[in-house]
Amino acid sequence: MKLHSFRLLPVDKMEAHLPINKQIIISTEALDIVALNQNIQFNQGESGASVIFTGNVRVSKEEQGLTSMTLEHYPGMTESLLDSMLNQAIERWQLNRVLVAHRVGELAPGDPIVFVGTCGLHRKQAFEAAEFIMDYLKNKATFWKKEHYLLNESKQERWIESKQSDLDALKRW
Amino acid sequence: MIKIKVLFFANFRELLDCSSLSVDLKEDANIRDLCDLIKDKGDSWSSLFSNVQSDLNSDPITSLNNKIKIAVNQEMTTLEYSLKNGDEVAFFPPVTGG
Repeated sequence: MKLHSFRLLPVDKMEAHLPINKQIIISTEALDIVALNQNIQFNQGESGASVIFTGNVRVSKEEQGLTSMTLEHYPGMTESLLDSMLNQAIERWQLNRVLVAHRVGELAPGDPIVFVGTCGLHRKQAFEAAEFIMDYLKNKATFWKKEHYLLNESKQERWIESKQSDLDALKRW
Repeated sequence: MIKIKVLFFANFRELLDCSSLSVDLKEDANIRDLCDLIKDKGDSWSSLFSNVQSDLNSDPITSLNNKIKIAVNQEMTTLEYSLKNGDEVAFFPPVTGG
């Protein structure tokens, strides 16, 4: 992941964007978690707490034989939905920095799919905002996942179906 | 007549073997009329669009009863939406990102 290609600003340019810095990244390249974390940790004392979450391609018992995952999205609509989610989070938890990065394209087991970083005055705000963003992203942002398997030497694929448990998570907000 | 751009995503695109389509419709047509028209394009089209229903009482985005999600000009909507010339309509399954 090249830092410059994702609208991540060099640290010395960030000051102009304070107090609220909001970034949305949809990337066909691997997410550079270290660079994203460095970006979210920029702080001149305005953030008493920062929380980061990373969701990765999992191969547990349920996904045995999974070789890769393809992520597709609706360009334009995804960005505007994420933007409106982040605006809600900024207002509700008084965030001063928030970043969402999401992969599209071909992913391998272990690859990061999504990165969420939130910064606010207190830890409760940063934790809750990160959970809210993930719950909304999973239910509203226009991404779709397809899993590719190799089972008994035969290639198989399936589109992941949405889960009731993800939907139920929205009731909290 | 009005001209509409129609997009399909994820398994809908694969099922129909079509990612986008241009459709001419009569003035004041709604999305239900669009579904009625395109369901005659073939077996996979009729299987997807014959039973398309929109539960107006539920959140169009988050209701799982509603297996076909509909957006117009990149905003979620329902079957009763009245189309205008140049609208971009998208059909897709419930989202699964994150």
